[in-house]
Amino acid sequence: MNSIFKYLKSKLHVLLFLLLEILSIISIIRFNTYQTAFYYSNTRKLSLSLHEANSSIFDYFGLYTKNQALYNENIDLRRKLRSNYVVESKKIFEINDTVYKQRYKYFPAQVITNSTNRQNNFITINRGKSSGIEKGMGVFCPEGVVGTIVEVSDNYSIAVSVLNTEGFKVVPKIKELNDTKGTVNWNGKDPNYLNLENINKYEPLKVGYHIVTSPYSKNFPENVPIGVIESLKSRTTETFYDIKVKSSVNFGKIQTVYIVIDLFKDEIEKLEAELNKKNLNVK
Amino acid sequence: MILSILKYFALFFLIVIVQLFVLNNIFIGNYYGFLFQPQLIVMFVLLLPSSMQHSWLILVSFLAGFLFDVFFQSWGIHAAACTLIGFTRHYATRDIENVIGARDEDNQIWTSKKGQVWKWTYFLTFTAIYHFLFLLIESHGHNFFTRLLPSFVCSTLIAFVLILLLENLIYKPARN
Repeated sequence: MNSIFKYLKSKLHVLLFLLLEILSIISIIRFNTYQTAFYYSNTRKLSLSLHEANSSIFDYFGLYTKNQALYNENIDLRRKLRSNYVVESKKIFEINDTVYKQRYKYFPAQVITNSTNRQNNFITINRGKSSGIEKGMGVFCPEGVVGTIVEVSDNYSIAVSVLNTEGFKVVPKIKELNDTKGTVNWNGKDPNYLNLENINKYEPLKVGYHIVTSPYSKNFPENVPIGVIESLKSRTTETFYDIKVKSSVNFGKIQTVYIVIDLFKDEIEKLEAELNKKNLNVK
Repeated sequence: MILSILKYFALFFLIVIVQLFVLNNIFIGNYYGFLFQPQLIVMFVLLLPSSMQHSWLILVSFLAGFLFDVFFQSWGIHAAACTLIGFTRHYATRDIENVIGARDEDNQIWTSKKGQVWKWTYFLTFTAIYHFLFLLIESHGHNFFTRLLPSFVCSTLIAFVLILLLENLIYKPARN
């Protein structure tokens, strides 16, 4: 018995190595994708405050582009103002306020950490549970879709970026055809380009068509831009197009984002849950 | 003893700050950004004193990697790679000897008798292993030839040059 202990003691470093390696591998497997991010929330405070200092410095370098984006968005909104329009019809009509009910609310937030050079990129945002943020909410910036929230702590949240080979999903619509089709993917290479897949090659698509979010997407309002079709290839052996989409967002320069809060989400989920109870899967 | 521990703490935070404020902000959003992923933490593990006991070396490397993971939200990747480097580098540095005239508190790797060429191979080999592991785990092995390999070669070389530069800035070989 004694000799066993002696032997084990002489091999202590190997045991320690194996133990620590197994620990880290478990943490890779369990946590690495994204449920993870706030597991060690206390140890994160220091790191997040450093990241915040970092983003506050680099924010200044992007002020010009940020201004430009806000300016464009402002003009877009101004075009939609009711005061731009004159009533031409002489008929009397009534406006019933209750026709419209608010569905989406938006929260502004700052991006603290951001990366584009990995194959699974995430974004940390300085809003959390205390602002009413929940998992699954959409994140977009003035230029277009950025990602969806996957993890929330009290004051911060993590979003999976569109630049993610695994986690991000959005339902795309082709604006010119007004048709919901295909899936948007990122192949893990160029952060400026996305792929649009599963679109039949007999669809009348053209270069320059806009890809936006569809009304069927659960976490985004309709018509948030995703990108513009840059090239179309159809091969004789395949039934689907090879479509390259130029992303409308410059992911290296995201600083201010909006988080979408869908006020009808609970109601929709409740309905779907009832159907799922009857084994009718709604997706 | 305490002074050298403090020195290593300072080194660790210097590495975190360089990684966070400089390396992670260059080429962000760029097409070739994926080529530029040097992970400086490997430098910390490689510069730990060679007189350390093997078990302590492994433990300290693991902790350094773990802290790096906490800072950069890469759960366990740095910890796994650092532990492996900590375990294997002992065999490369255990028979190291200081040059005559070097003080005890000098970094033994810096003042080793084996000379420049040994030091460069030591850094390059372990940096390469580290980056290969890191990139492989991080990307789950997807896009091996188109993305992982070029990224591995570039990041290793960049990290190697950075380590040599930083080392020259930090460690002045003090001799009697």
